[in-house]
Amino acid sequence: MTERGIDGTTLLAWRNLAHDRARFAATIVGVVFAVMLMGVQLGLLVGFTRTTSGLVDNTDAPLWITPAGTTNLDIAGRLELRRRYEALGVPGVERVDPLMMQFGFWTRPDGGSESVGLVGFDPVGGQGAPWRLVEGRPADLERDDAVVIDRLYARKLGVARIGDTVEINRRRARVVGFTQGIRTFTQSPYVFMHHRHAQRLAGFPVTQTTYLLVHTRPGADAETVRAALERRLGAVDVWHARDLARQAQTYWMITTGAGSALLLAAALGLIVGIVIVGQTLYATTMDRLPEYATLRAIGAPTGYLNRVILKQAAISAAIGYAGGMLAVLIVVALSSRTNVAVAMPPWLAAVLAALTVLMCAFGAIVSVRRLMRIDPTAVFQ
Amino acid sequence: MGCLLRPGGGEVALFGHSLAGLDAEALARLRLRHVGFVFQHYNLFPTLRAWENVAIALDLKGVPRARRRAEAERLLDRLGLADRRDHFPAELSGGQKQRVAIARALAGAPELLLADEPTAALDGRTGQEVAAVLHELAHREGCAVVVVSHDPRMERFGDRILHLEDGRLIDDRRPSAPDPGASIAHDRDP
Repeated sequence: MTERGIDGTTLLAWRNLAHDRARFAATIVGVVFAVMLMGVQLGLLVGFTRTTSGLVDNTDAPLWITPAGTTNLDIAGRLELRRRYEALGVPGVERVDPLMMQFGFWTRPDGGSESVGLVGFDPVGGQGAPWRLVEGRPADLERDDAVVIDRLYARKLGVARIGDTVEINRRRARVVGFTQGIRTFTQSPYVFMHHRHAQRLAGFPVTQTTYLLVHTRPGADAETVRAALERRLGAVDVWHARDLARQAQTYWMITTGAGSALLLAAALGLIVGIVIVGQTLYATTMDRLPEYATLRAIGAPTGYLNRVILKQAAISAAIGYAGGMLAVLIVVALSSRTNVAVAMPPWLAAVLAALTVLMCAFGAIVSVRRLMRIDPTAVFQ
Repeated sequence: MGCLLRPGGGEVALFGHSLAGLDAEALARLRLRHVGFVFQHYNLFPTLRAWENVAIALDLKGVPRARRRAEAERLLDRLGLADRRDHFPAELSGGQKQRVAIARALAGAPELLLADEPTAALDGRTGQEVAAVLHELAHREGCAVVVVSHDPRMERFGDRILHLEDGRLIDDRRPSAPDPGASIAHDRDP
């Protein structure tokens, strides 16, 4: 910047900030704090949102048949299994797999109890099978009392290793495997098992299930098949998988208000950041008002002065974002070992960067407005 | 004359532009294009080095980025500040600061240089040096230099002296042989 020639506004912006290191440090700490608060809250929102639709997202059936009035995946009604055969008769349907989901009570070896989500799948189709199995084999779930849980919830459920026995709904169950990283929004851990095992534990007759997952034939139009299923079956809901996932996310994050709290905290971070950046930029501007008046007197257009302020805001945003993002990524890494996931996909990092720039730009508004009114004759005072 | 204020009455024209009816931005453009300013208290940017203070003015005047440093250093060299280019204002004496301010005012070769009490904050010797610099600029650069001063010692540097009292012109004279004295190339400041 100094050897090959300078951009005046960038140089002034940087030197104005760097000259008062204590104030600059306070600004950066404020931006880092705001970015961290926004990042963690939005990361929690995305992480939780993903957990609400985990069952749908980790199956590859394009269509789901659910009991009529289903609002989310965790609270399910009942479907007659004969509907499976009705569905198989619809043109374009290739395969239909049952999937059970019911809440149950898990009794730990020490006698305590926890609420769990019983996920029963048909090993033939494999839809709804544990998708991140790190210990044990899928074939082990053929046993009548076999279950697989996630390592994240092992301590909560009072088990440590394969072979541990517990009770679910007062029936004995044996842990035959562990997954890693399958979280639930309700904090009732998923317990994976054979479909017939889940029927038995949930008190369902062998003729009932909760969901039917439909695979379409190659080349079949999913929407055409969905509409045909809805007409043929009646009294059920037939969803595209993506729509059911969105419905589950909307139910838990919006209808229950859970997402609002996270968004509110993120908004608070944004406001805190605007106030901190606004205050420190304004204080810097007021300190340097004679210099801005000099610039104005020698002919600088107001746009030039505003660029100095906005570049100060941009520098604060860039450094604060880098620091804040580093802190968020540390939180993301730490959360990967807990049952609360903080997600930071690239698109969210980009959104956070945009929010940081927006925050600093808003913080600069007061200073910009002050400079719009600057009197060049102040140089003579 | 400096286009900092609009006339309250009558008409003021500068380089063919009437100041009446011009908004603040248009006046700023006029200042930038035609006028260089030297202030009583130098008004240098304290966070910028000497050459950077001059380069800011060159940036404003649209001098290409790659040429700004060389041009700023050329102006400082001409004012006897070759060894002070990289100093911050706080590291310069009063006379040196004022010469940096003059170099900044000369950036972009203005047709008019306005100096407001340029020697008021300087001791007698340094004030004489700065006055000599301004006189020499007026003659060598073809730049009209207008100095506002209460310092009677400035009179011997003037080609034309207008005496104002209570806002009224009471004297207008042209000394036959101004005596500029010192050369601008000498730097006697510590």
